[in-house]
Amino acid sequence: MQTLIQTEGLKKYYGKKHVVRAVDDVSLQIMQGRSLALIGESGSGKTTFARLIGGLEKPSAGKVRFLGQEIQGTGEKTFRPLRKDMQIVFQSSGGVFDPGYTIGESIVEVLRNYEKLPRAAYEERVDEALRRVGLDPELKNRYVTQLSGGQCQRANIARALVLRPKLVICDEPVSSLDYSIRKQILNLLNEIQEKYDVTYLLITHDLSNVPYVCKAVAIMYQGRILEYMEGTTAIGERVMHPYSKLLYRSIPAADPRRRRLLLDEPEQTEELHAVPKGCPFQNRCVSCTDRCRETMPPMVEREPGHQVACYC
Amino acid sequence: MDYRQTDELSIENLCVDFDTPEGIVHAVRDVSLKVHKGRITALVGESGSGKSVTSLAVMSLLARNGSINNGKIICNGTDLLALSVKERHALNGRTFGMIFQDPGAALDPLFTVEQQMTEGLREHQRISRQEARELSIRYLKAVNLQEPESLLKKRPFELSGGMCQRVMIAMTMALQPDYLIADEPTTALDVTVQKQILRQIYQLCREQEIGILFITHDLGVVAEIADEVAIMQAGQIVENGDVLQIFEHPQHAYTKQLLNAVL
Amino acid sequence: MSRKEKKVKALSQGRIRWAKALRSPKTRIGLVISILFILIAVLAPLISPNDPLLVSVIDKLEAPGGQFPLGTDQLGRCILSRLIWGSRYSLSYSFIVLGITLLIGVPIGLVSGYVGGRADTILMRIIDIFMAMPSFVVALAIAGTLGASGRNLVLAMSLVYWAEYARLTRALTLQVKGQNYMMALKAGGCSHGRILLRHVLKNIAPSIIALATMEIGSIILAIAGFSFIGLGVQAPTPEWGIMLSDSREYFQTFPRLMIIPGIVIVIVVLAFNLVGEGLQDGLSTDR
Repeated sequence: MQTLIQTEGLKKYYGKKHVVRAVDDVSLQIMQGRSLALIGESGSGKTTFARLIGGLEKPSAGKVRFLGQEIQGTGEKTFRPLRKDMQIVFQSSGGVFDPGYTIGESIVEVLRNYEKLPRAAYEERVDEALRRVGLDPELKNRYVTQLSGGQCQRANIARALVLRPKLVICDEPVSSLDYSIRKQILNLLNEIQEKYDVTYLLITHDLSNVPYVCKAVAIMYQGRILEYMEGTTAIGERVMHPYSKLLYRSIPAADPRRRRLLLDEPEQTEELHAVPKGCPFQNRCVSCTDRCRETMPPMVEREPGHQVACYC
Repeated sequence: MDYRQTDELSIENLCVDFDTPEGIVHAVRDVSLKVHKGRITALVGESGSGKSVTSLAVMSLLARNGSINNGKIICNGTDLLALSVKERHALNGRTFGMIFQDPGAALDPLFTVEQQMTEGLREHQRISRQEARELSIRYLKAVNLQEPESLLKKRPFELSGGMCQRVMIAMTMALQPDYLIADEPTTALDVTVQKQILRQIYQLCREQEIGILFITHDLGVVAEIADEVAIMQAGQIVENGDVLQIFEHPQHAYTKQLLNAVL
Repeated sequence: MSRKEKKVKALSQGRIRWAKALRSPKTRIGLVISILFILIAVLAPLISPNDPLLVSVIDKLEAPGGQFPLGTDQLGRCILSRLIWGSRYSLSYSFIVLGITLLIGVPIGLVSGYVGGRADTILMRIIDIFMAMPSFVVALAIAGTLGASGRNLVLAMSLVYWAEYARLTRALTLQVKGQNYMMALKAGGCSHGRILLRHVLKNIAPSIIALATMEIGSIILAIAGFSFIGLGVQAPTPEWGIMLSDSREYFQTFPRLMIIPGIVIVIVVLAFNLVGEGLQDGLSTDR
């Protein structure tokens, strides 16, 4: 199995006086065929991490390797050829297309950046990409405002796929969509990875998305990875970190006979300030010790393919 | 179950039209709905189904091109549509409280939490600034916010989304409304925060006998919190009933489709 | 089949907005008048009844009618012919000023807004300096050093006006840059040049065009104003400002010498303003 992405001690700090540690010492790897879900709540740094990998921002420290090549801090010129193998599907479904061009034109534009083909071949590839995401190729003549939210997101995925990339970073691909189409889109993403050998980095706050698409999970909190786990069946029962457990307990069950959110005892509310040192979850953690306040627990392998950063 | 007429908010055959440049849009068509004190009625629908318009009609907050063409809104036995606009707006706050999806935008960034809370209180009640402040602190504590005294001095942008939403709930609750309209109150929040807010809303409903109209598109949340459920599609209510009945024996095809789509 | 497809081809939002903008009565009335004046300017040699420069003392201050449809001025020159030829100067000078300011201002604004950072700061300071210069003082300075002429007036006005467009373009660029699709284009491997020209410029062009059209009116007014006080085009050129200034002394006795060119200026300025406003209403992106 080929390693697609490997990060080592990746950091991104913002601000000079009040330093915000958006991404703090993250080491992760994504293997080909093992799509990774990066889970985190707002402000956890998951989107920043995706942008660092996608070359849309420069890291403050650390390394990123894509297909073995170090890409941190490279200019857009050297990075551009790599984008052929690494595409991004953005969150907002409608806003990611220039309203002045048709969907077809927008997709061809990406293709034209990398491949020189005869005119008819471009059209052919666009039709193929649209068909792959379950859209009628006729829609290529429409403008973004004439598509529904679900169609937009499909077109968005089509644009990412048209170059036949190896890695697709999906930043909250379904959170701006209505519930009834979320499942469709997630199933579509899964179908695509099985058919066309694509690997995803799925950035999401919604844990229920994970099993549809991914084969590994990383849980992020305040810029740090607290848990990494391969296999996405019954994640809820297998997670070990107190934060991961809290996350899983917070998902509504969709079963009025098994209400649990309202019965669970209340826990510490979210905090306003980042902790100066130690484990970022210390103030909300029920099993916090003095050691947690002093040093950040290292990632320790508890069982094969399952690492947890906790002293518990 | 039997309820006295004076203890419910009842929407009957409500129709709301919008006059747009493209023609008249029937946003809400013949919607009937009941909210009982001390119970939570969830109004479920996807974007554009007319669920928010229904709530705005109750609050008399429709955009200028919107009009109620038919139906009644009866609150505690009085028909609201027979009242003047002024009288209806006077009900907002005391009779109806409302919390929104984006709590950050519902609070004015220029003023401190204290200024906004006490202003709302003193508009509706004859109390001194000091009394209003004490009342504010009491309600902030009631929604589980720590250090309410220092919180009062903060401005909305210094708070997290969850805290803003809790401040909104405290503000609304301080006026002791009979009914609370919650329009997607947790959609913009993280799941761990959502959980706390849901518990808050649930407690308010039960302990203070407030009737809650909970608007959402998330059936997971509905299953956790609602007593009654109304499913809305394209401006109409396609199915309503007890939460157990809806989840276990859905009748309408659209309800089944929604339940199927739950992740 | 393929022919049919083309027919059904959807209209872009942009095209719909243009259509809407061009359909509004404001734009239409304005356009008709402006185009009429442009035609008059182009066809001046063909349609003017007399030589605008021909001085004929016998015919001086004649009432409208006969050989001189709008009468003659104090030197016996045909007022109508002078007005017709004058439109040439007023329109061409204002188009040249507009062209130069757009050519300088828009690229600078684009780069400043798109690149950002230090380049932006430096360019903005330069823009500020030019914005701070009152056009009157610059015109005075240039007339003083290079002499007062139409060409130097164009130079002076361009020098001051480009900064305004640079600033506007920068603001619009920043707006477009904040859109989500900018990041998507970058992720799709589009080069900066491509993003700037095919996406940013295309999206901001309508707003710039609308403003520029409105600006034509005020430039015409400014040129007439500068010529009136002697800083621009010089007599005996049949320029509207000059016509006003020449006839000052006759205002009490022969007010039409001043009123007629005055009315013409007002009409032209109004016409371009109407077009600009109509375009702005129609094209404004109310997303």
